[in-house]
Amino acid sequence: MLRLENVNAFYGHIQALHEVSLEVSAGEIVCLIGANGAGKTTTLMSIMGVVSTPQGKILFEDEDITGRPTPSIVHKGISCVPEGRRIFPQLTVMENLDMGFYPRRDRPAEFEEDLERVFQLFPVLKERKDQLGGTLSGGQQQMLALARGLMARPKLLLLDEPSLGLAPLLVEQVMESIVEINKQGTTVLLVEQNALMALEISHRGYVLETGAITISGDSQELMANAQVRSSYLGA
Amino acid sequence: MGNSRLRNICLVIIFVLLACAEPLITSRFYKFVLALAVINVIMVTGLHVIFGLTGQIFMGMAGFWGIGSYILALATTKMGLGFWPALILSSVGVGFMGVVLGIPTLRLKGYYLSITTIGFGEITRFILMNWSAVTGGVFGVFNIPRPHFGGFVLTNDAHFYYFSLALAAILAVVAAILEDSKYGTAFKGVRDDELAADAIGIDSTGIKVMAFVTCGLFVGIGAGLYSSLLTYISPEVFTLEESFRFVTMVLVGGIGFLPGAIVGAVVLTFLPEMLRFLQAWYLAIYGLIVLGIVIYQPGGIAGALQGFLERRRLARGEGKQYGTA
Repeated sequence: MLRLENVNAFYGHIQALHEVSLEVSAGEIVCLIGANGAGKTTTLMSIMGVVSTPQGKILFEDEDITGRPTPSIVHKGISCVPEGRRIFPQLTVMENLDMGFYPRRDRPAEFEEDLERVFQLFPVLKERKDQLGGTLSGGQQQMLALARGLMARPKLLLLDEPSLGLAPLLVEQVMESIVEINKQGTTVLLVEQNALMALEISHRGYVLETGAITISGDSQELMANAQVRSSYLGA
Repeated sequence: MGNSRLRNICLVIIFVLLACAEPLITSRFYKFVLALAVINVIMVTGLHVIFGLTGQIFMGMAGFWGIGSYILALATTKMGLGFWPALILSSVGVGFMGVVLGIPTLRLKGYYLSITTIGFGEITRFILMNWSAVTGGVFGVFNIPRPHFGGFVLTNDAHFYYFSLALAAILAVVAAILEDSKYGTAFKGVRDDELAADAIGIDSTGIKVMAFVTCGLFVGIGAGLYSSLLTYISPEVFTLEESFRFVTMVLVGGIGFLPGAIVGAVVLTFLPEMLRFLQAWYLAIYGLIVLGIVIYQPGGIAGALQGFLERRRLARGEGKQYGTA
């Protein structure tokens, strides 16, 4: 479904990604783990076309989307839940969801259906639909960010650190909803520092170190891998 | 501030008060200031879209205002256009300036955008001053006509005032409708978090260009009326100081709340005139008042109003607006 071939990305003269190649097949949860500054977010932002034009090839459903403008990428079926949630604090929950639907505003008929779906996944959002986004708790904001991403009805959902800054119980809840979203047919590329959680819920994983993929394989295998265990699982 | 009912109620109250104010003012000078205030209301409605809703600190209002004023002035006096086509031309012309200014500068964010728009305003003033063959240079443009309905010309200042007020009300309604639309939400999304808006597929550059164009269309109408009210314009009016004054109107009103910006426009049109008896001191006092508002009421008029409503609701024991914690 998504394939990166030898992608390089730069911030000015500094190279952030070195020949990154990875693949996500339809129906999978694939995780990308690694330390701070390894290039995980840069990888997602390169896919979304948000930061600097990357070199190499990014293919989505066999179509080259490298360096395309973000709205057209979202239109093709990729949507992103950015790091730190980045919901719109001065907009209500409902307006935040409206914004998620914005790229599909030419199909207003589907709005109710999608809204129903995200409210079913996150009932708390329905309760608080008229509340300003900024007044939600951290966990609720993360749910709102996920819901906003889903309103674009993506085939592929990119998640950047959904566990960031959440209490352990909430992390578990968010991870469960990611599994549920995947079961409902959305493919997920998950970027996480919480490597254990990410590997537990994903099918396959990639390890990113200083801008390059160093290890990849089934999540079960990675969890058993000695290097992964010592570097990322603290075992 | 996403309370559109509160906004609509406030708008109705403000426009009714403005309509009642004209006969109550006896001085001819203050009647004139009132008309200027309503023209500023129209222009600040434009600024509200780009600054209040979309969050772009636009410091080039004097540029938009100057261009709009000159388009109407030159179209009526030199090209022989009637008032109405000239007014449409000044609106569309400044709207087009929104594109011209927008596309190259909108990749700039925050302070960089502000500084660029300051440059835009200043360049506009210098062009108006020095392109004498077209603009008449420092001597300005004379004999700009008043609006007319058929043979009825609005030479009477009161008639002109009510005509401007009607236009201001219509434009405020247009701005309110825009604010409540999908695009209004997108404006606010870009204001809240531009990167997030980009990441979820909102074309933030396109949204900002749209906001600039909308601002231009509104300001063009206000600027055209300004030319027509004064019947004489010259370039030295359209200074950076005026651009700051428009931004201050929005700040005093409370960012993102249209009735606040409108009250801010009226207050900041009258305040300098009323403080004029202080002569050299007036700028200092004016500055202190504005500073006081920013320090003690950073939410502006809107913040004060919402604080008041919230306290009243609590006093009535209705508790917080949202039930379960």
